Amino acid sequence: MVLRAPEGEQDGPGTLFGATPQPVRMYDLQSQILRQRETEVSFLAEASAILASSLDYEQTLRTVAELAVPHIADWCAVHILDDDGAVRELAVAHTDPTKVGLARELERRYPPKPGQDSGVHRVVRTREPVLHAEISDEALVASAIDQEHLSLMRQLGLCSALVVPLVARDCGLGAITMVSAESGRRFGEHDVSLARNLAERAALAVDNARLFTDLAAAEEAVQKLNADLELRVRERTLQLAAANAELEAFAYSVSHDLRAPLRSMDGFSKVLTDRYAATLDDRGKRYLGHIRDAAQEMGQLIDALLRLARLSRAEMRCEPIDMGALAREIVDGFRREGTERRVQVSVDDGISAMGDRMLVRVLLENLLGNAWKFTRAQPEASITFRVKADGNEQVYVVSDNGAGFDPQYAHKLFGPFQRLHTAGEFEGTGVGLATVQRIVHRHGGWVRAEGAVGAGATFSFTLAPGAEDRT
Amino acid sequence: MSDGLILLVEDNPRDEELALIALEDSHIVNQVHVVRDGQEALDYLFGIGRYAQRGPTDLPHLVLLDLKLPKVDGLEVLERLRDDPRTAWLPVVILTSSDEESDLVRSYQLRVNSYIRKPVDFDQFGAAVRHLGLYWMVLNRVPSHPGRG
Repeated sequence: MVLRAPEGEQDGPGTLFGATPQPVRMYDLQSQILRQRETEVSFLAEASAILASSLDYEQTLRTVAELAVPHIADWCAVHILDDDGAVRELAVAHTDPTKVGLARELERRYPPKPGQDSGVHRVVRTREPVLHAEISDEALVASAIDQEHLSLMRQLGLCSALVVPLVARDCGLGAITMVSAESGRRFGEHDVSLARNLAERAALAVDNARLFTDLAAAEEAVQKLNADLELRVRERTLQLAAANAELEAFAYSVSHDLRAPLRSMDGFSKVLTDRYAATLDDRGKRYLGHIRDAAQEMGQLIDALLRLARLSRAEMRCEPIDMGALAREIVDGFRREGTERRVQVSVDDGISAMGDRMLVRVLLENLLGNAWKFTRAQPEASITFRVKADGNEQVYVVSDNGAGFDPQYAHKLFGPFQRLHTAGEFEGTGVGLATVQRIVHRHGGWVRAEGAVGAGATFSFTLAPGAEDRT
Repeated sequence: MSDGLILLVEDNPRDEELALIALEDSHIVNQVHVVRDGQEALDYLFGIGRYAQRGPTDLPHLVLLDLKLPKVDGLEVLERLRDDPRTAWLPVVILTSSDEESDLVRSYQLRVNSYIRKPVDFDQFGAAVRHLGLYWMVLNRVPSHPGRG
């Protein structure tokens, strides 16, 4: 039901029974007012309870409209502003269903023109209440489209009306319309404030329900996203597992098939050197030596690569490690196998860590092995292994006073097969520091190198993610 | 040196030749029979197929077994040997390129007697062959009636 406000109509003074035809006594009037106020208070209370009872605000608003008739108004209608900007009639209530049918008939045959700025539409737009205290027959005549329209409106017997907006969080949500007809009641400012009071509660209920629906939809969207993500993680895991299996097969094949020809190259060169020494001059023997060296070098490269690949797939088992003891053990090994050297090795007491013992051993072997190797030319070689606390991180530091490196190329140090020294200066496969980095990353830590040419090198690393407190 | 026979299971002719040279250099003069794949190794050891005329009890003193072999691979050969009472205790030494942990574990699960990784360096390979020849052909004792008892 859309109320058409006749243009230029003056809102009458707010009187509850201003147009009651019979004269009434003061006493009766007061008790009538009191009863009416009681009705209003209990109506508001009941309406609040209904609005709070369910998140289906369309249903609760219909119930509230039913509740309003006939004690608050002869007619009560609720309009809702939909997402697409259309104003939709949600409820029309009257005690007599045939009257409701009549109102619907009127609505059906004389629908409001699109963009028509009157009645409910204007209230929804301006968010200001409208009161037509007295709807005169002249006003009906003025707003009627044709005779039949006028006749239908007259049948409804409308005599007073008010429209209040539904507003929540500064947004217009719709409107509540109260119309007086057969009761002959005339609405006033008091009725407007009662209707506004109801409208506030209704708007809050609509807003809450919509928020809840949005929230539920958002939650559903998040759940769907999570499910999608889980699916994608599963897919990726399968792909990774397949890639890993492929890599493993590849590594296996490398280990078998690439080394076999090298064995032949080295083996037959050796046989030539040994058994045909008499027919070879020194140069020929030297060339055979080169072939053997090259074959063995390639064998070492393959082995180093395989070790590196193996580190990435080896299962990790974390346990407490006495890093100091491990470092001393490794250095003792260097002293036993190498030529006599003067190296001052200083290892802090009580350096502990949580990590995979096998992997951490390989890491320290590489770092200490590098320090051992690159201090070879130092008459007073010195290697230290220390631990320091940096914030909540335990940082392990291996330093030496050896050949060092050009810091300009520091970023290349950890790449596989990257070497900053020629094979003539220092032997090596170029896989050692790549191995170190891989092990550190598998523990969730970081590794950094500092150094300068001729001024030694310092390698710092952690064995745990930085955010984690490992004291 | 013992007069026992060595069965060399090796599919690569160059590796075979190097192995023979290494044995020769180590003064191991035992007869060496070479088979080229896993199936031939089983035929030889069980006296079947083209080795049907061979007595099944006429076992070699030592089997040098490669892992990566055509037809039937080394681990399967080892498994079949261990499953048969006639060959369950036959000394088998794996001689392979692989030092994959999984190969080592599987070999030992199948009660291999020894596992040697063939080094690229022929000097090291020669030393390994010398050691294993001396150990398995001279020092090591085996039951005289394997499979009984």
